[in-house]
Amino acid sequence: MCKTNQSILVALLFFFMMTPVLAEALTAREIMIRNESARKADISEVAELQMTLINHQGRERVRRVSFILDDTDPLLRKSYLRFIAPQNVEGIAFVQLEHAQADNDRWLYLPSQRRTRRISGNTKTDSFVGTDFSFEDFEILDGQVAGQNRNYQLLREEIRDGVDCWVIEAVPATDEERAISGYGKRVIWIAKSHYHAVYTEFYDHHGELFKVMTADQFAVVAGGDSEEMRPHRLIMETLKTGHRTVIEFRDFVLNEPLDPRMFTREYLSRG
Amino acid sequence: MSHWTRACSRVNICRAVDPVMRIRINKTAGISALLLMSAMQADLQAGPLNLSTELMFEQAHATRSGTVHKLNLSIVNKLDAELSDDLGLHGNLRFNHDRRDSNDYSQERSYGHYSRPHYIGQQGKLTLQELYLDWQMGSGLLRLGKQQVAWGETDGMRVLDLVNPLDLSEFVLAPFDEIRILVWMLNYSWIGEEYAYQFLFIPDTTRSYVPNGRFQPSSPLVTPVLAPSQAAGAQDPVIYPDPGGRSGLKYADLGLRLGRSLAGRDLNLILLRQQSHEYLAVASLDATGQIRTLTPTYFMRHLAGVSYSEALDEFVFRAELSYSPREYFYQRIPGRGSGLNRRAEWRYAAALDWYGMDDGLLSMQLLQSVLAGSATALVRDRVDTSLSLALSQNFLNQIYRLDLSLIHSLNQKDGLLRASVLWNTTDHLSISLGVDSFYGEATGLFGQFRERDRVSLIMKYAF
Repeated sequence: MCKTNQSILVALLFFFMMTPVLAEALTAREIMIRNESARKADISEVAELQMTLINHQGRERVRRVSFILDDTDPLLRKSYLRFIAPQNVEGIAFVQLEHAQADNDRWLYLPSQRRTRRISGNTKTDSFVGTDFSFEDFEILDGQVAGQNRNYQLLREEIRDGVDCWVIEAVPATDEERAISGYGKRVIWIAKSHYHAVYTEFYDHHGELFKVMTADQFAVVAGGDSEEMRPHRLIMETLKTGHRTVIEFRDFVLNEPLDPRMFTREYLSRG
Repeated sequence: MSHWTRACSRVNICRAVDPVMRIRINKTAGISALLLMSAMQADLQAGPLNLSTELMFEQAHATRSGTVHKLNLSIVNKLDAELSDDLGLHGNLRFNHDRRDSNDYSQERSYGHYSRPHYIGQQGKLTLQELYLDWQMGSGLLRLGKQQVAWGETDGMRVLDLVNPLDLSEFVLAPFDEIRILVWMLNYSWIGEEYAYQFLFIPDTTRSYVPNGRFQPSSPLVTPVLAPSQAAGAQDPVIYPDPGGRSGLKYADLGLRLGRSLAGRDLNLILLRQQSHEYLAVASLDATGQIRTLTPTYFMRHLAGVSYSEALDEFVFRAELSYSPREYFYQRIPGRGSGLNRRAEWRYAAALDWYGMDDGLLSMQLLQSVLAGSATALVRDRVDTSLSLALSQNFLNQIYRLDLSLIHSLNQKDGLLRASVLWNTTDHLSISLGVDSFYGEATGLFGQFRERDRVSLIMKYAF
């Protein structure tokens, strides 16, 4: 998406934010499209993530990750991730290329073997490097393209932790989508002020609530629009085990020019 | 997983000890340097210079005799430095001290002159494992120095993963990152719009390390044998020491790779010219037909190959194929022992990974080697087939991991069964407990070590 179009999108977003009368008339699907726009309005995101894994006894493990997203192609998000610490996982890297129709391309680089191997693009429910997030949680599940595989329903409007929200239910629209998704249903609290999800409940295919995610510490990000807010902390908790993962965004920068070769198997293999 | 087959084709010949070649360094100085690096790293974690350290303790017990196989302490210091936007330096220095193993100075000729480890007394060893400079040049990257390159798609099958020689001091039981011997090379890669290229120039003469002692191979598949009539002869054959790899540009290894990823598939074409990593013993006969000399010889190999991988829903298919017009194998000389025979060889490996389990992976691999022409006189069969099965399962957010694997040779009906449990107690400390069990006849590649079953404990502390 070119910069001009993004600017228009951000301007439109800002316009709708300032016009609550119009916004109230939005359908659930329209809200989710704006949610996607709020998260994808930039050409790139670069951040260092600190992932703190906390078990039910409170014991912590900390992983630091260099995380890069390329959203220049609205239909094809590209992700690059490389472990910085701790030492036993340092250098492990991962690239994902999303596809609207086909399975995602995914490669994993293991520095101890100097080897890159293709891994399945269909393992959405697997834990993401031992965290409470799954691979699916890092994909774009809603919006203009991915939202075609979801049915949305606006359940209600309510104040959550002082934030005025729409509460939207998202369910897989097809049996095929239901089969590959780890979630039978998501209930999402979308802030009316900036269209980001502030709280999400994840239900399994039996209708049981098993994970909840909180997004907070919203702030403007370097390189982004002056009105553009982003969460700087995500907390995902698995209710059954009591294990939770806190992801904190550091050195968060938007719209950094990226080398497209970064998202190739060959680049990953260089270590 | 293992690096069997080609990995072990080396003879069981005692090597002459050359005292001139012994390299010793001051023990205190070596250890002090490592500890100093370890201490420095605390202050140098951030910024363009990063030092990290790993301490590892390994203990292995033979299950049959109950004796301690291995009692090893390792200190590994790693260095990563950004010298400029386009220039980086990476190094890795390793110290080993094994109370149950003595340094074999006679094996130094396995290594190229600048690749030899520095022995410290009888049980200590200091190895510059890795040291290379990265120079980014637009779409190209020049990586110059001691390094490793892994080609191919399968695990341990050694169809195309032939660039680095192997350290077989524990046969195939050592971890992946310890089993490859890193060598000095020029490695240039270039990423284009559609294709990627890689060129390797390897003047290092380091060859695979095969130990005398506990894991010394004895299978006739990989070692020459003398027939009883020959062995009982009045004069034993002269066995020459390992001369080491031949040096000079004429014998330098060269590799070329062309790669492309397209529509969910990865494809690589590979050409490789190399001096084989394992020597074979060439027998010379006298007028009466008796074997008079056995001369270790490294043959040149010219190989072409292709590798492929594709994701199919919950499965990933991986494969590689190679063709080498001149490979050498042991053959029987009736009434005498072993000689060598040349054959063209096709090798292929196919693997299927299943990602259907939550946080788990099941991999199945098939390896087949097919020789051109008849194999009547050869020690090995014309078609040689091996299978492997591996399961890896993580538990409780990767705090625990279970690994099970089986390697089985259909021809020799021997194999290796492995099981291990890893416990990541903290971000810095991990403990693993494993069992390795060989089975089959002593003439097989795995069966030859059937008395070497063991249980092992490994503790790693990284900081």
